Amino acid sequence: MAASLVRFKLIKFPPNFLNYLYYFTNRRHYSAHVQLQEEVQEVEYPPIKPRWPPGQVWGDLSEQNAWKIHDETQNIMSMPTVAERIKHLTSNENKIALLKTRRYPKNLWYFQDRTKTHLIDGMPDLYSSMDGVSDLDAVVSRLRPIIIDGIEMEHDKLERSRLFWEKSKKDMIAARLLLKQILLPVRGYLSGQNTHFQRSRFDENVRVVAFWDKYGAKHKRIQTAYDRNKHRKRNIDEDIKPVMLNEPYLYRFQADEIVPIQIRVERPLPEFVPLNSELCCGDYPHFDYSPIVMGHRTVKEKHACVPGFNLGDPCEFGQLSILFSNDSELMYLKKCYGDQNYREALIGYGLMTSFIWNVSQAHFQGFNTFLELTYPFTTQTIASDGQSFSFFAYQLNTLQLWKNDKANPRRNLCWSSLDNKLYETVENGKVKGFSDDVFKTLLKFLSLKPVDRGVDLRPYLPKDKPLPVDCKEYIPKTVEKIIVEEKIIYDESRSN
Amino acid sequence: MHLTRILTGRSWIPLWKRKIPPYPVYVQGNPQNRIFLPMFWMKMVKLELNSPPDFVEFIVHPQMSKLDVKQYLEKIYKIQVLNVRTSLRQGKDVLHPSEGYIITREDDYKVAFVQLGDGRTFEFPNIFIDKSPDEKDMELMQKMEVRGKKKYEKQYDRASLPPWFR
Repeated sequence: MAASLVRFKLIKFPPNFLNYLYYFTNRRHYSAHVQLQEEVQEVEYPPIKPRWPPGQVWGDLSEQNAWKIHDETQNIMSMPTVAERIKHLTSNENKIALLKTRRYPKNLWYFQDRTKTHLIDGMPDLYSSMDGVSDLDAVVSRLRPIIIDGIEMEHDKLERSRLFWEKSKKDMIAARLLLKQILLPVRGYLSGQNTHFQRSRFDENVRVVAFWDKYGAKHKRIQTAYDRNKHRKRNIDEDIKPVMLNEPYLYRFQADEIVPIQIRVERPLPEFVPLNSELCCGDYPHFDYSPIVMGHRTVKEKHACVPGFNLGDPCEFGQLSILFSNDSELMYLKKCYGDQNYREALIGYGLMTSFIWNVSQAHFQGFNTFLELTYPFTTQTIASDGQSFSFFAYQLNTLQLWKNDKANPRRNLCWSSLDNKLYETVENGKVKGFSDDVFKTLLKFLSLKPVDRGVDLRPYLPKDKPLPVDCKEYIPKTVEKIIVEEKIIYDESRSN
Repeated sequence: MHLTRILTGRSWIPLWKRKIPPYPVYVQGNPQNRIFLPMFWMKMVKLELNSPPDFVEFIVHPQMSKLDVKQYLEKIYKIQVLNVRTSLRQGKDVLHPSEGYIITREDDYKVAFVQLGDGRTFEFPNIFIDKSPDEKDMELMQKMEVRGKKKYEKQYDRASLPPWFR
């Protein structure tokens, strides 16, 4: 059979007939003789890899992804500067769930889950302990007439109606002017007593952005009428996934805010609660639904991490950020959904902005989603329209939100107290019902001194390299050289 | 409205799918017209995504706005509504039964997500706790087909033999 086939092909001479010459050569020889080789005694195996990477509790993650994160952390640790790390993390353009902080009602529950925060009514104990130590009563009695005078001047004596040509921003401009009348004299007075206040930075209209990864529920893709990629029926999980992981329950979130007024200082504020305490670990409200359910959308954008200052700024820690409670979006929410929903939204607004600012500050100290915090970050926020003040205090304990609750039991903390009125009314050009307690809490927020924590602030950054400096020398320094060609003495008596 | 035209064979559209006639513009001083029976309709459906218990999903007339949905529920059924979101959905493709290419598309439709106020919640009833009789028959058919295929596959290599020796 085989011979006949070969003959057939030889006659026809196909183009690759030279290959068939192989059969006619006498190259193939087999023999029964086998050359014995000496057996190698030492057996070599590849090195044994442990099942899970060492050093952390991984929780619900698959082994493959745990190894991926382990490699990524080492990759990031090898980068010596903060700028390189942030560039590496924000280089890829992926889909993210953009959170709008003051757009939809009943979202506080949702924000608490995404940021893993526990809400507490009232202020932390640190403020009540400040009463005995510092003599705030003397400061209040000194500053009260100045501030009352400023409020009266804003209301009656000055006519700023020409400024208010934009109707939507009318209340916000008024609030900004009123708050400046209150803040600036206080700042001037306190800077004499507190040295940290002299070197602080006072900024306006600052952009604050941050991104983070969170453990959540599974999502499903829906085909909409105006979907550009309608031919690609993918799951929504694929869109919002973090850069490197393929887990179906991990999502990346980003929030963007413009904070009206910010004050920054050189050293971090004291921690409200130590990390070992029972408050820092525990339960928080869970929300196991997709962001689309509440109306938030997924956008393809570059990630960003902006705390409101450049790298190498001397003041890298937050003291206070001031928001407007009569913001145009918030007032629209109040008009549509009522007063109760407005109060909830106000807490959500204060919570989210302070969380974002803390996260972006942590990024500038060398921490990431992969590199866990070694000490808590703290900030204070005030939301007011000039009359009613609502105070917030936030403590960031974790950044590893992509872990399961069993693997990472820590949670973040937020204290809040709403609707504290500084004064009741202004009648006939005079302030009535000025409350000292509210003014005292405002003074406490401003005069809270930053401390030396006794910890290394940048544990994941190499100490050999110098830190970046923000100031650029646009005009090169010139050194004057005095060249004396010929010395002339006019009055000999004076020279001696 | 492609599909309805094809199925009926003419350009007749059912009443509930038709466009709403234009409402006369009100000028000050004129008598105000009122419509007591508008051509609006709402159909409650099961939620596509898992969502909190105060959410309800409707398929509505595509010309209904958010305010229309809100007033429809509040004035007729006396249910307080907190928030309404709407979105347009594309109809599914209708394929040729044997060839598989797209003949037409089903009609586009509007979906309204309603968030109920006053702490009211709603759970969509589970109508078919057991499977419907049609679904049961279909499952049986598929099972039988698979079983027959498996029997037939065993005899592939013995196809040339007479059945006695298989």
